Amino acid sequence: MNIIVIGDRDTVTGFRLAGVEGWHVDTPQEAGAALEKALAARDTGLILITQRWSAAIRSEVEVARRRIMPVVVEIPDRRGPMDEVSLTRKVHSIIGI
Amino acid sequence: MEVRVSPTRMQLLRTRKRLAVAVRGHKLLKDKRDELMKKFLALVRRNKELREEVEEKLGKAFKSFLMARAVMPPEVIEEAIMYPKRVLEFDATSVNILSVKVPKFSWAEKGEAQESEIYPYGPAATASELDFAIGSLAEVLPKMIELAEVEKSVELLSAEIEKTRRRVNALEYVLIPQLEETARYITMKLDEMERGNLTRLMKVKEIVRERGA
Repeated sequence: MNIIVIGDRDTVTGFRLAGVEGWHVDTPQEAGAALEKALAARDTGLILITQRWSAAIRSEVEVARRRIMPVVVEIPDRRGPMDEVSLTRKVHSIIGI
Repeated sequence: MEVRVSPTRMQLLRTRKRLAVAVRGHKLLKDKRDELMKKFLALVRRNKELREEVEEKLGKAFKSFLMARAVMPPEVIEEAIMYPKRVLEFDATSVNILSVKVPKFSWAEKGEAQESEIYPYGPAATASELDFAIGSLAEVLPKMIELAEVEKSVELLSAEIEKTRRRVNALEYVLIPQLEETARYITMKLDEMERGNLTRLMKVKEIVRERGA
């Protein structure tokens, strides 16, 4: 199984040093293609995507999240975290607030 | 709600049996829902902790990385990190939480795993900020893998809770009242027939007595 990082150059370089393979992308199209490629690869277990890019290709990410494998996680990039509302909202709707 | 059954004793027994099953199922599902909720909330809490930690540590790592960028020429950085030393072995299995399959990750480092060996370059030509950046990234990676695990579990569990809750509600507010209604309708109807029969019998007896007299 592999972990794949999708993000800007700095993020990907950083993770390469920590032993994780990654592709850096510069446009939403590239991000979408990278995500597709990562999903298509048979041995992908975990996809880390920076929040900035996942926000740019929100619908593709949502579709990918519905699958059990691989797991897609959004991570903050070097410009700091963005609000992660989707999960909080989901939790609230489940608990019933 | 309209009840469409023939009011017979047989049907009454059948309805009562169904009602008993429904009530039992309702209780079981309710227990399942509560237990799922308990697990879910614990996971949500853990998820929040992990996310905050990961965000903080990543922020630090990227800051150091930026500093390293600033004090070192880009070619030197590129050269320094051309060949990453750490290679991560990563494996995924799944575990069962109340019949919900959630992923479980395990990972290990391949190659030299000594503390001082994670840097793929010599210390002479590079800034110490790069060391910090790499060190904290290496540190945050296990947390991140756990975060992925927990986040996915939360997601899967939430779907299951939703489903279970719907079932509980369907039983509680639709099926069980409907069955009770049916049972009541049949008993009433049977009683009514019983009374009708009784008066008829009395009437017949009266007529017979009149004729006899």
